Amino acid sequence: MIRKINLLLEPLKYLKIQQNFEARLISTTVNLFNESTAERPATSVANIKSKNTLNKAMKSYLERAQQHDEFMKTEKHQFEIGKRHLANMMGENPETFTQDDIDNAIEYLFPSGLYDKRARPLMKPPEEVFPQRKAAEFDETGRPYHFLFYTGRPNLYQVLHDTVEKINELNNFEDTMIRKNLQPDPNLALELSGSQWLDKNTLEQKLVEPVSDGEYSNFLKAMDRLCSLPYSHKAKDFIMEYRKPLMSNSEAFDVIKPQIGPDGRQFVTTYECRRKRAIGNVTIRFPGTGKISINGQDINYFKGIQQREQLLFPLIFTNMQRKVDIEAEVQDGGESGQAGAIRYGIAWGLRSFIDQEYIENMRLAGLLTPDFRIRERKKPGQKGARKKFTWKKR
Amino acid sequence: MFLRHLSIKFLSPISRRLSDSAVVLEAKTGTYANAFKKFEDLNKPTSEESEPFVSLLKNSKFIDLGDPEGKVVTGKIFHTVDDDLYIDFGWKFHCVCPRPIKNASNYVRGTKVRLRIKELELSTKFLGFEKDLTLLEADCQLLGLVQERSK
Amino acid sequence: MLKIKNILTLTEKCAPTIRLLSSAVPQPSESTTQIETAQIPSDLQQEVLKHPDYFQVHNLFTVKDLFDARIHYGHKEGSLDPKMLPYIYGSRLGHTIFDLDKTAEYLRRALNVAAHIAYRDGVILFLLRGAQNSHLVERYAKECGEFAHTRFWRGGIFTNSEKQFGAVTRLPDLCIFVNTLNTVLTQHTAVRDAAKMGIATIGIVDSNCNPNLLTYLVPGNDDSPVAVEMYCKLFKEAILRGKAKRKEHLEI
Repeated sequence: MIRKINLLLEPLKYLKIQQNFEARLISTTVNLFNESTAERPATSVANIKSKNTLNKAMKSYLERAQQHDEFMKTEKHQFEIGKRHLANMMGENPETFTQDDIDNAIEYLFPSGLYDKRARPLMKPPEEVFPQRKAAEFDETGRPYHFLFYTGRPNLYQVLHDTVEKINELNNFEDTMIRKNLQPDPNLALELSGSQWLDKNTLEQKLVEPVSDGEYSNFLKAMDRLCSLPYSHKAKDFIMEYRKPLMSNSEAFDVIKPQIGPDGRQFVTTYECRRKRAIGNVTIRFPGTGKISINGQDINYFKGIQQREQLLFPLIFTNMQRKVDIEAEVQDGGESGQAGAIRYGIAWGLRSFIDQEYIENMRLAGLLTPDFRIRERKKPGQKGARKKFTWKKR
Repeated sequence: MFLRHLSIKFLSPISRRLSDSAVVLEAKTGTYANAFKKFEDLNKPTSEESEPFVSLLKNSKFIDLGDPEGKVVTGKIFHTVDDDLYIDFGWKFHCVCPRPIKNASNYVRGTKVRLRIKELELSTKFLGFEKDLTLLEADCQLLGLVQERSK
Repeated sequence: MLKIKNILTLTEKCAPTIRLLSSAVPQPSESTTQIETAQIPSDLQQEVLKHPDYFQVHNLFTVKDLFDARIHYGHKEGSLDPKMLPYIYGSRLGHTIFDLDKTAEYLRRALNVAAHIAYRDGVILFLLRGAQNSHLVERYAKECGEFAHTRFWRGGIFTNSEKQFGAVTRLPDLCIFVNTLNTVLTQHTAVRDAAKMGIATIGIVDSNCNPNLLTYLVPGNDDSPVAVEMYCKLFKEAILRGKAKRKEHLEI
């Protein structure tokens, strides 16, 4: 019995050995093959080598970048197709359809009452819609480019680093000037009143990095310290990079030039002055005697004292009561709305006849700021715009 | 306790390993021995060019000063923030003094001033901490200018 | 070709503008052919390693230099950490004094390590907390082409780097702590994190620090700007020596 089994097994054993031998054969051929590759021209070897040494970080980055590129490509393609469809819908030539046309078409096709502009439907090229991302911050060996890379906010901390650098420079300069017994020239002093620091969001966009509240306040502190130095005007370019002009200030500057009327007097007309629901046009004539006409009537057009005060306030504020004539046409709205609209029109028009100092004072007094607020509609199911009906659970 | 023991060290005679530094390398030695000797050499303070620490410390101004409390030293203003003068007087820490009312404009960066030391390190023990908490500052009293600044 | 590529990368590195993902994607085909990651022959590497002080860091300073940089001043006795006792010479009227002979030995060892790591193209990160010296350290790190982190340490920069940087990131190979204490007098979190991640650390430890988690410690004063500048200068010089040797050997 045992012998029989042995007999059966015998060829199997042999087979096993044969297989082993075969395996060994294969391995030797592989070795040979490897050796032959080693003797290949140097370029391919270098290629293989560098491929091996390509850092893990770089490899994953390249994959990410490729994905991003493909994604952007499809998005761009879809945007182009959508644009052509939209042009066809609007019956215009798709070749000459611009971004402005797209915006108008979207506004026409999807009218939206949503207050926030960002919440309304939009169609913008994908570069604007998707946030920009940073490129690889390291080379093939994985070594970062920026010396503050490991802080996680290299750009922000670079700005802070540069600020300290500037502060040190200015301090050294101040020391040499003190040694020479020189004082800083007051005429050169840095003028910062017309601008303000970039707000947090703008700074984030500029640096392409998230900035926390604490970091932002640190940024402000460092910048204020730099500005407080006596020779800060020497770092003006650096400082101004992180400031932006005040909006209302720049607007107030472009004053309308008065026209000459048929009677030889100068006049300025302000159109579409609004307050609440009221809308009106106001003409100011200079020189005048203080005559006021509102829709053909004099100041008695307004019954209330308060409305008359409103109307006269810009004139009293600038000392022009008896020097100009006012003609106003106003419609819609109630009494106070109409008075407010005229007040704004007078203040806006008066800028043409007074000097810069008064204009700045008027701006600070809030006379040149249009009041856009209008009544919010009542909502169904509640008592007012916001107020709810009284409600008891039981 | 251990510190009392340690402070005795200052009094102990200076022991210098002069003989060790005079090792001459043999030409015929194994590479390992060679390297070993080289390494040994490097580990030693380079006493050829520099004094050992012990004598440096012994001859230093810090030791000359004795008990620093109440001593008058000169320092240099290295930073000013509004009316605070940051003065460096050669110690581990700087000290911060308010700008004196008299001759206030003379106290600018780089000015040499006289100080009376009150305490070299502002540190005290607080409840709940094993170690002293330190402010990383010295406490001094500003006495005045050393001399008129060189113009 | 290689030179042009090098110049290109250099200009890229120097460009002050912020680079964006879509605008400057390096082409994969280009980067694979680049031979910047050339290797130094291994026998040369072995030789460098065998030498006890290949980069001659021992002549970078003398004990007198350290003494003049006030490195021997420690804190008051009350804040002494018992683990620092072996490195302390004694106490002068309540203020601990470091033994600079010992410090010099440890500092040379640390400088040697830094030079070797720079020679092997390692990434070196300088760490420090405290506003007074942070600009100094950043400047020196920039000058020797290495990295600095002197700001608030957000947890997980080492231990959770993939999340923190949004991608796989190469961590530093060596951390140099110019001081190991936080501003609130607890240990810098990075000391612990580096130990967790197996990153070698060099740390300047003052008399109130705990040296347990550091790979290479250097006992000495970590508060005075003079001392900090001294350390930075020495490490910068050692790193530059390592890099110079690397360049030299790559050209062979």
